[in-house]
Amino acid sequence: MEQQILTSAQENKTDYSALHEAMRAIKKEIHQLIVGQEQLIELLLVAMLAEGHVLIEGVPGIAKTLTAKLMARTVQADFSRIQFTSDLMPSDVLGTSVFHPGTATFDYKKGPIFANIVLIDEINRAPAKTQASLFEVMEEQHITHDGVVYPLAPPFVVLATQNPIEQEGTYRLPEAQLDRFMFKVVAGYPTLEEEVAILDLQHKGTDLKQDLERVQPVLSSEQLLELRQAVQAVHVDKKLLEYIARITGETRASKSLYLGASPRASLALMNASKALATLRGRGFVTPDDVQELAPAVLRHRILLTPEREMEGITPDEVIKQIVQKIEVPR
Amino acid sequence: MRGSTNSIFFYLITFCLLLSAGLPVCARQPDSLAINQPPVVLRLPDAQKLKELQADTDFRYFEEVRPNNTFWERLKYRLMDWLRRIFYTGQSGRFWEILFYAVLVATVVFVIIKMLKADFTGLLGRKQSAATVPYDVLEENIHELDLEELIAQAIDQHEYRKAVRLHYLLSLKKLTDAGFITWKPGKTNRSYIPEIKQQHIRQEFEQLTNMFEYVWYGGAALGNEVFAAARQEFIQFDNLINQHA
Repeated sequence: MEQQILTSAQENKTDYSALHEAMRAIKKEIHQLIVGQEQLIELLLVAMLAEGHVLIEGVPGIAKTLTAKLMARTVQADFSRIQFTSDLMPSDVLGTSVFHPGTATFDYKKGPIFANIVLIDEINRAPAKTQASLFEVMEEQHITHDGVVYPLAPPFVVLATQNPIEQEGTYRLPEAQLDRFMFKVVAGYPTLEEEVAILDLQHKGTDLKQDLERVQPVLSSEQLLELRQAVQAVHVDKKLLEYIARITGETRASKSLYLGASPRASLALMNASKALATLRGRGFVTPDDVQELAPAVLRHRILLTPEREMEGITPDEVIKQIVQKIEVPR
Repeated sequence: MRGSTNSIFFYLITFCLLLSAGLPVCARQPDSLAINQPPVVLRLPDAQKLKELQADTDFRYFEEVRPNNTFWERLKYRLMDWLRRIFYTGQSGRFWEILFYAVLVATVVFVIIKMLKADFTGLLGRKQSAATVPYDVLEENIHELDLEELIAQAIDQHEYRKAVRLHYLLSLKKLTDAGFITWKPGKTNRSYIPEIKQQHIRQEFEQLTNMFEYVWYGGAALGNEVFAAARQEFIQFDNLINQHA
């Protein structure tokens, strides 16, 4: 019966088995060196498919950077890494004009942001001035320098890591920049079993530098773009569009929140839900997809009221309450 | 030796007596003041001014103890006397004093909290129920709908997708009535699956959920035959619940 209906539903629609298989292969490659961090890896895959940037937050030493590096390795594309420091200048990221005495002209020297996958390590160690340099490129995927627009070649994905803001030498990212990240993933400590497995891996003589070379690209950048087009074709029922809009809207009405989520958050939730649906092997979005992704999409876009912060309430708790209160469309 | 010492004392005393006898002679000398000097005038404060100053309470440096005449004065005296005896006498006085200051501090803290409009109850431990978020949720209560009538109407109008949806809602209602699941509008269909303890009912419900999601969220178009088969599965599932209810 289910198969009958499935056939009926999927007739003349995109086949997601290739995409599903590619994502499974990427996970396998990453798990050669990474133990656990399932949610982080899955959300990174979703973001890659949904054209989103990811902010990974966690305490030092939980393989945030390594996971991001491995994810970048699985896609055969230009990769660059920028270590953000407190004295980093916008020109160190975007590039700068260099004077050539021979020709008496200025030439634009591209910065490390010109790549398909950019890993920004410890993004919150740079001040707001440098963070602001990322606004244009993250949203519009081009850079304007001296009146000239320099587009970036797709795909363009920023994977940024940061330590929790309470830590020494860190700055809070501007709201405008946080909004440009599709997800904020909070990476936690491994479980006991996972930590034992990490120790065992190291004990058996794993050489990180050599083993990193073992991780092979699964997709080319062109293939990734094709998969993204397939994700765009995923069906989202109008009731679910309304459901997404209501969740985002409630963050603006909530008395627990000082700042609600923007329409960009609604778009991110919809696009991410479509990508997650394909990872689950479906050609349509369900409320489960939306509910599963809501915390990662919304947690960095909302600000709690001082009263709620003093009570020790977290953004995730408020998001959970909002999601639980809104009727699931069925 | 002793005789010579006594003679020295005798001469010394005699010399002193002769000197003292000469002083009255010096006193009889004429006055050195000039004769035409003005006489000394004795100045005394104004008697009227003195009375005024004496009457002024600002210059009264003692507390006049007056008898408590009026009722309020007597009441106030008794009250103060009672408080003095409680707080400042004996061993128990110390306890009451501490209690008084504790109440005072608690009152100040309470006023500050009220002014900040903050709830500090979470300081003593993690709050079980977090902040309440006000909502006006438009809920479709499956217990208030005549689902069987609505299904019949949907079938008559050949709205098979809608009929599948209503069948699914009917199944959810039956599961709720039978106590297999706890219905809440915010729960997704799949969140009900682990709530069902009976394995065969759980498996059947999971299949129905897959089917419903393909039809309702996936936009699958249903023909007569496919719908008839789907409806049969819903009816069988409802019968299964009735058997175990």
